[in-house]
Amino acid sequence: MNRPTVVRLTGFSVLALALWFLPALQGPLGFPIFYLLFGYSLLFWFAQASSWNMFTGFSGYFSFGQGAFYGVGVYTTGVLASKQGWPLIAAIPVAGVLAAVLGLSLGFVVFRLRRLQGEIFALVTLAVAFVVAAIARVSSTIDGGSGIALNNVQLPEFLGAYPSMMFRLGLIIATVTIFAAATIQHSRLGWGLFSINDDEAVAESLGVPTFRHKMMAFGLSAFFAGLSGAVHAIQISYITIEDVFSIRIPLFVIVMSVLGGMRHWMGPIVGATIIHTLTDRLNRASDLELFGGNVTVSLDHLNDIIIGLLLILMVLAVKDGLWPRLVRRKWVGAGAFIVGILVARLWAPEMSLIGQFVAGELGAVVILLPSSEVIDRWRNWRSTTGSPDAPSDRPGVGASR
Amino acid sequence: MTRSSQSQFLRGIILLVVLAMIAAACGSSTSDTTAAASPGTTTAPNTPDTTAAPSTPDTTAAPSTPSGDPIIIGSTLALTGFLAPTAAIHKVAGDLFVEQLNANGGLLGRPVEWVVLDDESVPDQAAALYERLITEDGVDAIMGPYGTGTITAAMQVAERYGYVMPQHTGSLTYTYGYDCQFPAWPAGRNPNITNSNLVFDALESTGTPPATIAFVINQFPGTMYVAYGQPDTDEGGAVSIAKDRGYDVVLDIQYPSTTSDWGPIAAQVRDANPDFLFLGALGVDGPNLIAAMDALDYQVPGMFLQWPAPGPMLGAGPSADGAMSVTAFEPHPPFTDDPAYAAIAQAFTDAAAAAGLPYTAFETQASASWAAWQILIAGIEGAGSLDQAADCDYLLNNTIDTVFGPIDFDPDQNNYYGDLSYVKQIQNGDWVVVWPANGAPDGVSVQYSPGG
Repeated sequence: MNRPTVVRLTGFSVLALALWFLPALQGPLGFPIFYLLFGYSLLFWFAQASSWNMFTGFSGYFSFGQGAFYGVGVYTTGVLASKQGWPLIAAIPVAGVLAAVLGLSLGFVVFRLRRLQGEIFALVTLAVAFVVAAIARVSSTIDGGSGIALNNVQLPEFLGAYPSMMFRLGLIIATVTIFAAATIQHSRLGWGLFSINDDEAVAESLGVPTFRHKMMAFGLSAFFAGLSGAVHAIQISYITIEDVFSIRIPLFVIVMSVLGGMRHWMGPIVGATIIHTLTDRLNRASDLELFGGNVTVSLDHLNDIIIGLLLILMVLAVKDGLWPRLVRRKWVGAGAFIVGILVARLWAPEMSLIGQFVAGELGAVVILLPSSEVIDRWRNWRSTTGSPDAPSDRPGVGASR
Repeated sequence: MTRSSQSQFLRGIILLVVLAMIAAACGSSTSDTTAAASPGTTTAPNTPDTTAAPSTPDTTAAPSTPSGDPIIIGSTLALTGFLAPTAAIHKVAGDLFVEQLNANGGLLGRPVEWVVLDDESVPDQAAALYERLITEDGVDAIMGPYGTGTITAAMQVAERYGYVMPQHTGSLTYTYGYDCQFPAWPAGRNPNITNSNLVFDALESTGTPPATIAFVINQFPGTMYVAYGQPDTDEGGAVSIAKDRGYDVVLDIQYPSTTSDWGPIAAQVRDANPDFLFLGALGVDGPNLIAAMDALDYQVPGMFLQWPAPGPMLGAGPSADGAMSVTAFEPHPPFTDDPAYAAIAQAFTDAAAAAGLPYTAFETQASASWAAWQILIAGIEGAGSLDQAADCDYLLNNTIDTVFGPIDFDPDQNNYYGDLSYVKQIQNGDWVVVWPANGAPDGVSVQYSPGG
């Protein structure tokens, strides 16, 4: 194990260990139990988005297979832990392995056929989710159309009461997934995937084992998606084909990764944080009274519209995601984040901690967009007038890596 | 894959996602509402022979103005998603109930506020929102959501925190082992047996029952349960009961809930040519299949639909005439013999019309919603407190008056209390109860003949 990996492993371990004891502080600190479950949801999306990104973000192969891998994980818990009586803790690794087997089987076929690239690859992976769903629907051993209630699953009580247990399970899986993504990015595998992303034919001619790299990344991506799905089955409580294999999971991981940035392991985390916190708060936002109460705007009605408009803005203005910009303008971002929180506290002192966080992140997003644009133009102008030290703005180069 | 093609594809995907999200937001009535104020839950049961003492507020007393901090009742509803059209009925019914409750003095002398969040018809979203309502918002009580999936998911959250959860319409009766869940839908613990027998009894009451029958079942957990029985048991459902009664089952097929092409299913029904079609239908499955059969110039002599959206069936044309379904309440005598319930039915119709609902009758869905609210309020009023354990105890140990009549929850039957369903049928362009005879208006009976 090389030194950077050891440093990374130490950092992740320390952070995870610190968070492990967060549930024990719920009583002394007096924050709502819900925050632990909110934290679990955030960790779930970290794991899902990171697992998708470690293949698609790095290699450029657009996969909709996330829904199938997640679904295999969910239904493994449903079948083994609910129907067969396995302890949840035993079903989770099996879920990861089954999802990985599905991913590797799919990859073994499609990666050998060069014509299955681009849009065709995306459609094939989308179709796999439909096939898996159909199998689950017709098989009474799996579902048979009746759904599975998970009210009899043996939960790992040694991890604490339900909210603490979910938080800790989510923490374990998210930590392992993110660590894997970060390690891949800085390994020969990651460099190979980035070269496939840039131009697969050239990468192959330069000796990059493209088939092996794609298989490894796709298998790992499926494995972590399955692990995460296995735990999330408990949170769903009642699983049905229509909900588990809906397009929601694959679409959200795409949106989160694109928003945060697909060429760095931190991108999906930034994107998932923004999307999940924003949707959570907008869903329960109180009516906003303007002009002395003469105009009332119901924010929850605008949830999807606000998210949609934000994404349009991001796609148009921040081609490579927020993370590279955040790295380049970290002090501006941090300042805007703090100002956003202060404004929220002044405007609505009773606002929850999550609400204040959302205000802070919105402040950072708003300030990063125009300021970065202005600075980029200024730098471009300088570079065209002969300045030798203008930094590259190409994705995957410099700070974004 | 080159970066330019990836970039173009990526942007296409993102734009599709964004457009879909905006379309969903614009096309749905995402009203998450807080309703307040007005009461009068009249509690007289509609059944003429009730002897139970009313457990809801005494509306004969002069109403007083509620005061103090509001009692917050939290719930989710499918304000968006595929369940939204029917959930809208529950929204209107709940708003009206809370409005009447507050107008009649509130609850424990305090005003009631109903906080509704949008679960988007998704079970895990419902579970997460109930977690938040209970552990972050600290609501005083909860009302169940609408839809079997969301109800089943939310129930586990309620159980985790010991909250009383009345629920409108959960159909997986065998999974609801939580002692403090209280079903309002009066379909009994074993609708796979009682509902099926009810329908076949209705057919046999005509003296000309079908000889052949076709089953076409939506692969929705509730409809699958009624048709085939509890999974992993041999108790069976409508299909096996039909065979036991001597009907020749000439077709038995299932279709996904997302079916949009009804032509192949219609063709299979036509080829089987049954005397009677048992359609395990939800929502607008019925009108869709009827239209497809019309396109083939084929009609079945008679058909039953499990849980159709009532309005669209009435607009399905002459081919829908004679179609049957189950109900627990219809806005006609004897259900409206009690003036109190006649007034509620009319008030609901007015409120539903104002809300723009396409079908405004106070029928099964609305009445189940009303009953769920009656159960919740009865528990709190009866126990005289918001203590969840006390409310649960009261409900388990007392007869509760509802729009369906007095009910006694039976923990041995997952708190179900017998099947109080009726068979209704489209006659002269409207739904009317036809079986059992004590629910039918004078002169109305089942209309069916295998000859059509």
